[in-house]
Amino acid sequence: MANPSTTPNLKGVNFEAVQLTPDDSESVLNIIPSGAKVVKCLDGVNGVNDFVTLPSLATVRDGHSIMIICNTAGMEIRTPASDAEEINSENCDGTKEYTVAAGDQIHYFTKIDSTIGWMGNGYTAIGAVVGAITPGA
Amino acid sequence: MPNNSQLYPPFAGVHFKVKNITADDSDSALNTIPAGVVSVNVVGVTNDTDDYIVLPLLKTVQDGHEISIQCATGGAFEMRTPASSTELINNKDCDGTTEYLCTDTEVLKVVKIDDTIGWMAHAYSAIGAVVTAVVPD
Repeated sequence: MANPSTTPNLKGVNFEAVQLTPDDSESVLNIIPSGAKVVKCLDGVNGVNDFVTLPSLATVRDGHSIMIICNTAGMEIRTPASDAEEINSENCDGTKEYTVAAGDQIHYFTKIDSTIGWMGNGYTAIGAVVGAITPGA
Repeated sequence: MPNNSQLYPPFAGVHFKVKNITADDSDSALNTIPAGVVSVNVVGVTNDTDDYIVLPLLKTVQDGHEISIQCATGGAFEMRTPASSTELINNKDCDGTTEYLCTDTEVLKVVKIDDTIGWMAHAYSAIGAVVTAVVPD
């Protein structure tokens, strides 16, 4: 049954973590579904250059934020192939990638708008701020 | 009534009820954060700055579950995992073996990584400055 309130008053919300497997090409294994709020990344298929893909900007609203619990080995985050969408002001459709170091880091991606793209920031597993990441080739 | 019909229900906003708790020197309902609660206000201590609050058992919340904790005790207090659970905060056993020190007026964010790694905790000052990562001791 649909919740009739558009501003529900809740004690909490459980967001189901979407489990994804980083890979070296896009597939259902590694694409974050539109609307997902929490993503838990398993070990990559190949290695640390494997990636998961953010939703297309057009499919989520401005301000939409996604928490990605990255894997132990390290991995990359991209935007969908050939879409020219950006993370931290860099084209991350495969031209460049947002690289996450090893150690089960937690990174947040917030859609600014459909032109500017995503802002990404993160923390280590022990609570330290990860310096701003400039996606590289 | 639970909303089970839509995986991604659109809301204009969500209000989370704040759970007020009081730090104490033993685990009880007084100082334990219930599973599922996402907004907590720590309103005081029972004895002194060694009093503590208790996070939910890891298995009772999902990966990526995030709790926002407002420190409003007028002084320091501590944060633990449930007694004898051996569950970790920032990679330290915080079931009483060590504790995470909480500072008055700060805002804590605590995120479950998974059942093995445990919780990652980080904090901001009341004026938005990042607090240096706390190593429980």
